[in-house]
Amino acid sequence: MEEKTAKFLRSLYARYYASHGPVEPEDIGHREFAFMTFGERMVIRHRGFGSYDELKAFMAKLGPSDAFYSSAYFQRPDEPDMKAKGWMGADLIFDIDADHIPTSCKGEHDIWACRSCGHWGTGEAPDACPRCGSKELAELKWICNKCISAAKEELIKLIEVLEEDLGVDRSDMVASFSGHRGFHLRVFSEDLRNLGQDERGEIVDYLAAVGLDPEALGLGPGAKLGLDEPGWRGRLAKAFYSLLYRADEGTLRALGLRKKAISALLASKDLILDSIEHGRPIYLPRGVGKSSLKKLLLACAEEAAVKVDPVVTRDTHRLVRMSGSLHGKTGLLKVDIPLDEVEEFDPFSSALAFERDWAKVRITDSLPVVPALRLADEDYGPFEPGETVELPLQAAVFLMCKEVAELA
Amino acid sequence: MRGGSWAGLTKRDLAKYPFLKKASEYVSAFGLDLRDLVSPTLSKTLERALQRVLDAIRFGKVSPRLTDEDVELLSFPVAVLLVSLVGNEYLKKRYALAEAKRAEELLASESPDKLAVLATDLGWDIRSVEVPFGGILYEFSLSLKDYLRNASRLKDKKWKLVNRLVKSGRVLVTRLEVARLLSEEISSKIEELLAKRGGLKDSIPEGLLPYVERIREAMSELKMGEGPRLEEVGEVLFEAFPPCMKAIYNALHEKRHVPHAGRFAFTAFLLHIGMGIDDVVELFRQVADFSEKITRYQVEHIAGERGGRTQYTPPSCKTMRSYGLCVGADELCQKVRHPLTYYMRKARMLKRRKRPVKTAEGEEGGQGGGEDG
Ligand code: SF4
Ligand SMILES: [Zn+2]
Ligand SMILES: [Zn+2]
Repeated sequence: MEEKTAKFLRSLYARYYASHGPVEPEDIGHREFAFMTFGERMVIRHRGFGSYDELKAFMAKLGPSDAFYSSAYFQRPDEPDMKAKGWMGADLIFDIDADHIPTSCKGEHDIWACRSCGHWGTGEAPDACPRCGSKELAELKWICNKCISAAKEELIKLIEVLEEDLGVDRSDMVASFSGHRGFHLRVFSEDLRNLGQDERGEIVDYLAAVGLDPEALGLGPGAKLGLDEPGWRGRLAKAFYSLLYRADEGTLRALGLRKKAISALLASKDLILDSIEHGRPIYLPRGVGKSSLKKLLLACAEEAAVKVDPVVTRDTHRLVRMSGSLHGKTGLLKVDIPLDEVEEFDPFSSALAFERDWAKVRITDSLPVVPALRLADEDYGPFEPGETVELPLQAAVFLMCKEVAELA
Repeated sequence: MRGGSWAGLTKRDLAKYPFLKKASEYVSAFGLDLRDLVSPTLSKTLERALQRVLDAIRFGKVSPRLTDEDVELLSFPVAVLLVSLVGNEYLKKRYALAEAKRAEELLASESPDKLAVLATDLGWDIRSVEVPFGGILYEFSLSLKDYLRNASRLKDKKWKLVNRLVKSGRVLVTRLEVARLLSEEISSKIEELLAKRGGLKDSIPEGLLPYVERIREAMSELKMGEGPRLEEVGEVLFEAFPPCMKAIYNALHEKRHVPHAGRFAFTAFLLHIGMGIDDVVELFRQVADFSEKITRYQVEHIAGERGGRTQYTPPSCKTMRSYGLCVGADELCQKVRHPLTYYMRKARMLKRRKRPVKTAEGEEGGQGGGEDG
């Protein structure tokens, strides 16, 4: 990023914070704050603020590219040494990143290019350029509605499991769009605040069905299984039901089942569905034994699992992006979303910060093409390297933050 | 107050479970004076307290003795005091565990009602239910946080939350499972108790000193508190290093930055698996550009030859994880809680594998299995 661009973004972000400020974090006096800046990518850590006004003034002066606060509560948040901070507990946080969910659109809009020979391709970047072997690759990760929808689906599953199984009150959950490629969910509950890493790890494993063992759940041949049973038994029952409901030879073969088992399953589909509907022992036809059942159930677990980032949730000292702050890689806002509006949430119209004004930018030539962008129902691009364009501020900021354009 | 009942608990219950809140109230009301050396209750209590600790050292489990309820009850806080006076971390753990095992045995034969009362005294949010499932009768539901705090320390897959019946934040558990989870709670409660008394130095009643001495003797007879037996392993086997230690070694080798905690863990680990101080210093000299003087000083410090004279034990997997030093989670990692245990077990496995296979018959895939002379 050129200094001219960095300076522009710094002052733009600073002005935004002077007039809007971030959302006030809960229990501000016990949180640690951290910031990053444009250009030199300086990291400022271990800051504490006594009041919201102090925090807002600080951000309005600095114009940070990214602003974080600790999920943990500390007695002395501004102590640089972790041990001296005095950990008092931490909110339970979940991170859903479209990056970790395979979607077909990534092959369409993610691009990489070799900085030495110019060779390029779409999708995820390889470790080294396949043509010249250079490891200096430019990489562009884009976002579109497809990635967002996939992540949203996980968020909805997450809320459901937390509420139904783990008893987390909806009023204790805050969902947000991260400002980039995903969603966060924070749980503010006195009850769960003191959980340690291992205990949080158990919650993640629960969500992601890691370590799930059908036998430990009492699910072998002859076991009863009903749709409204508690825990993963009920989740497996539902997933099993819908898997079988729409199963054909192809889907079952993909699960590694043998020919004989496949035809037996398909032939007695109705009987099996019926047995689950009535919570009777699962009807298993001849040819479908213990290992086929296990394969089926594990495939169901995989399907029903919630794809959260395990590292984030385990960590009791995590920094979380502040709600109402701007993302340094997109210029979009991190915004909180009411739980019952997740379904229809559209970041490309609800996470916009800069509405008026235009800016002129020059597309860099690190990539052969910059994909199109849709903001507030308008399409921009695709753009050619070297091209100079005048764009609405939000779109221009997006391209500069993605480092595919410089201020012209 | 004597002879009464405390919120559903009898005096016998307090004698069985002397770590309960209600039990410590009883003890303070009793007012045993540790200086009153002619009191017959005190001498019986001291003897029993000593026995509790010796049971822990020798058998890893305290056996209950309920003939004299007062003595059984009063001897617990005295035993805790004795253990803190000895001041050995390993003994503290072992004692807490041994008391927990004693309690678990007693808990296993309690009625569901009594279990609920006991659990409530220990701060649990527990409810009685009656849910038969797959041939198992679940008699309790436990709040998520109480379940996780105790079950997350247990390794068997049946304890994993994902394999439990959970609904609305309540986890279904059987009677025996409650006893098992309570014993986890009890061992951490007792560890806490011991940690609190840890600072105590002033005014040790004279009469206790001989008991402390007896405990020290028993420990040294069994070579306890000196860490795992290294003789079992013999020479240092790099192949048997746990992933975390290999990672630190590689990082040092590649001259990447290794945080202080990592260097500490690695050094303590090497010393514990039987490497001499000189060898450790030499190893650091080879792989990284540290000043030899400082390195030697640090290594000697960790070995207990300087400063506090305590030999440091390498951190447990849990601590390693909290420092971000655990890279683990290979299969063996799942089964151990300490990098040293990993090493011991892996070393044993490797040695076994190196022995020539003698029983060729019936071995699967006999062709590739043996070592050709
Ligand atoms: S689990 Fe233990 S042994 Fe395995 S890598 Fe982590 S710290 Fe090392
Ligand atoms: Zn190239
Ligand atoms: Zn997409």
